[in-house]
Amino acid sequence: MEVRKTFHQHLDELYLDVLKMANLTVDIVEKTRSAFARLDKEAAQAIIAGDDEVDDYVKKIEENGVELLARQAPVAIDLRTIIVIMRISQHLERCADLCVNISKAVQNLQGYTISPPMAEDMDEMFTRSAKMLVRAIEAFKERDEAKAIELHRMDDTVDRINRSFFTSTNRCSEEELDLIIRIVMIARFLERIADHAVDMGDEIRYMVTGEFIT
Amino acid sequence: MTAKQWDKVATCVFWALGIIAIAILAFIILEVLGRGLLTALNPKFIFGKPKAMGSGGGIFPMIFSTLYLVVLAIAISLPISIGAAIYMAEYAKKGRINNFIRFCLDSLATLPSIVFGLFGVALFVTAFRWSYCLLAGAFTLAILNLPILLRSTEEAIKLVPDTYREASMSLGASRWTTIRQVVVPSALPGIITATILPIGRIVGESAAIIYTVGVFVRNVPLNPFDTAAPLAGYIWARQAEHGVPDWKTIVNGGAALLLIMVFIIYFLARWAGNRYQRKRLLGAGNK
Amino acid sequence: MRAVNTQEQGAEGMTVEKKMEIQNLSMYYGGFKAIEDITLEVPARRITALIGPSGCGKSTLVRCLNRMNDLIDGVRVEGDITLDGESIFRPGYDTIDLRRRVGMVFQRPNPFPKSIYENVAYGPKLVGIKKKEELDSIVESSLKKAALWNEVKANLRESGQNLSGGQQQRLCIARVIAVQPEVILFDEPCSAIDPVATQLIEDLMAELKENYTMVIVTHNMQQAARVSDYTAFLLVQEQGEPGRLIEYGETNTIFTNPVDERTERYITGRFG
Repeated sequence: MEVRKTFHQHLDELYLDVLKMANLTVDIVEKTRSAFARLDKEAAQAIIAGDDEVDDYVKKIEENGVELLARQAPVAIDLRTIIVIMRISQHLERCADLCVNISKAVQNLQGYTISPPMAEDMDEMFTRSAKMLVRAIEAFKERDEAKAIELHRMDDTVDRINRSFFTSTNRCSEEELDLIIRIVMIARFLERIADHAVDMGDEIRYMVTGEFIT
Repeated sequence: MTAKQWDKVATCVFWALGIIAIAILAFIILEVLGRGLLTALNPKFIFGKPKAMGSGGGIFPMIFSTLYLVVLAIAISLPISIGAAIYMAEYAKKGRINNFIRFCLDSLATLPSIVFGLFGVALFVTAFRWSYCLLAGAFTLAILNLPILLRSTEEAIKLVPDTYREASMSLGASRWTTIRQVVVPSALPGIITATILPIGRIVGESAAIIYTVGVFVRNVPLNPFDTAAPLAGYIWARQAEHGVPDWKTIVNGGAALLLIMVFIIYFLARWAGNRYQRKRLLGAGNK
Repeated sequence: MRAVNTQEQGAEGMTVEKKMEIQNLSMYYGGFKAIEDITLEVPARRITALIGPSGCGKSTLVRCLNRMNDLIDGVRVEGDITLDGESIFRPGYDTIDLRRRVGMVFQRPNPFPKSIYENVAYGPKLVGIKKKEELDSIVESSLKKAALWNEVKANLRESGQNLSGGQQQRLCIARVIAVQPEVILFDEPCSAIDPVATQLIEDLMAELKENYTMVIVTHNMQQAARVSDYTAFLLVQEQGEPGRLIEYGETNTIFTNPVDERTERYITGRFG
């Protein structure tokens, strides 16, 4: 016999909200990738403007999460779920902010040309970071610890690409340096998005196992 | 002596007292039944009419009169008691009126029954010109029983939990409806039990009814205004004045029968109380 | 102390209507002042909780709402209470009708020593409903609304007192529902029953919110937090003083960020 229907309904709503926010964030990363690939000024502007939607989500999740904790005194899996949902929403909000930063950088890249190898590598980073976010969401939905752990490995690839950008600054000319620096900055933003996905994975592992992961 | 030893002593003493009490009761019952049981169970005795002279008379009219008297007296005193008890328990509550009523009742309860008998003669037999009859006796006995019946009824009503009253009134019932639909039905088993002692008293009462109902009447009374000879008084009269050669048999048999009647009435009253309680709890709901 | 009111905005920016209003209410038992100068609203079709330490006057206050305190000798009231805008203390006000419109569920379940059917049918019979079909239908719908029908439909003739504590309390709720009240008062309804049964009743209250306005007195703060939309906190400052309203607002606010320090100390368990 099910009791506390109201509480479980609210919990389900919170759960759906964070999933919606996550999908929105992945979408934003996709759009940013495309804006970068085409150096599209308008698309970048749209991403910057669309950040409010993400902020609304995180605020809503925060408030509802706090209310549930205060009023329903959840325990065990419910307690960990609510806490993790609130933390994940923070991470997602940071990812969206990073996309805004990337978009601003894209706007300042007008007039530059990016060499195909570089564009390829950047695209690889975008894709991998987005994939990591998706993997994290899957891990959350399926309560799958293995998928959460996988994120660490996926992060290694992103790190590797990021470092290669750094080292390439050694071998470039004066004119190229300016572009390289901007690219490195964007790569850095993407690397941080990947890191957020890894952190989300650790939160999810806490939710599933109850053990703190450092 | 240690506490444990004192405890043992106390236990023994109480056991002994209990056994003594039971023993006395047992002795009385066995004596009476021993002397008269055979007669009491003899159908000729139970259903036969008393003889004016000669032996072999029965006591059917006496039995009938006694039962008739019980019915009448209870019919008179019970409604009054319930009504007064409801007043005292539900409406009057605290205060001097209640205390005054209780004081009067307690005083009344201590009067010897002969006083009631004389009162009954003066009022019902003489002043009302009813002459000797069952009704005069019934009224007298009703007054006699009023103190104890009223007290017990009041107790039964006070035992009904206040939570029932609260629940009823919070549903929008008036005080009177609450009393009628909840309090009295809940108290009824207790009220029925409360009538046991008065009934016993009626069956066994002799002094009060000798002067108001009759003693040597041989016919079966048909209406309340008939004179009659209830059993207890008749036994006393036969013992005192003999009258017939087998008076001793009649007395012993009568006494035994009286005892049996009291037992039967007692068990009937308890059974009725239990049945009512079960019936009321089941109610008239759906299948 | 002025209480803090928070107006809830419903859809289209309309405020939730007030079903009952308590205005500067004080109540005396003889010479003793039990509660003083209480002002608060009971919003329609919402659950309002009264919390506070023992003896703060919550039960006294809630019993004023259906004038059950009238049954106690020497009770005196100052101030006013209105139901749908009309004062319930107006001379000549029909208290019997008031108690039908404002029903009550008590702390200890108190079904009558009658059958389950007769318990629920008691109220309707009071208003003159006699026909069996009508009574049958009312009994069934009331028991369904109280989430008890399935458990007792085969045993309606059995005594209401043979049920478990939680079932008895739901029977009492059905009994109240049968008179079709507009407001239901709960005076510590779960304090005498087990936790699982308590949960069932809390879920039931959430469902009943659709059609009934409810006020619940509870000494269990978590219950107030879980169940209510609005919460009022009462307190007796010092021994011998009357109970006063310290704070009143949306439950979420009270339990996440109360205005008054005393409220915060109470709900965090620092006293009481």
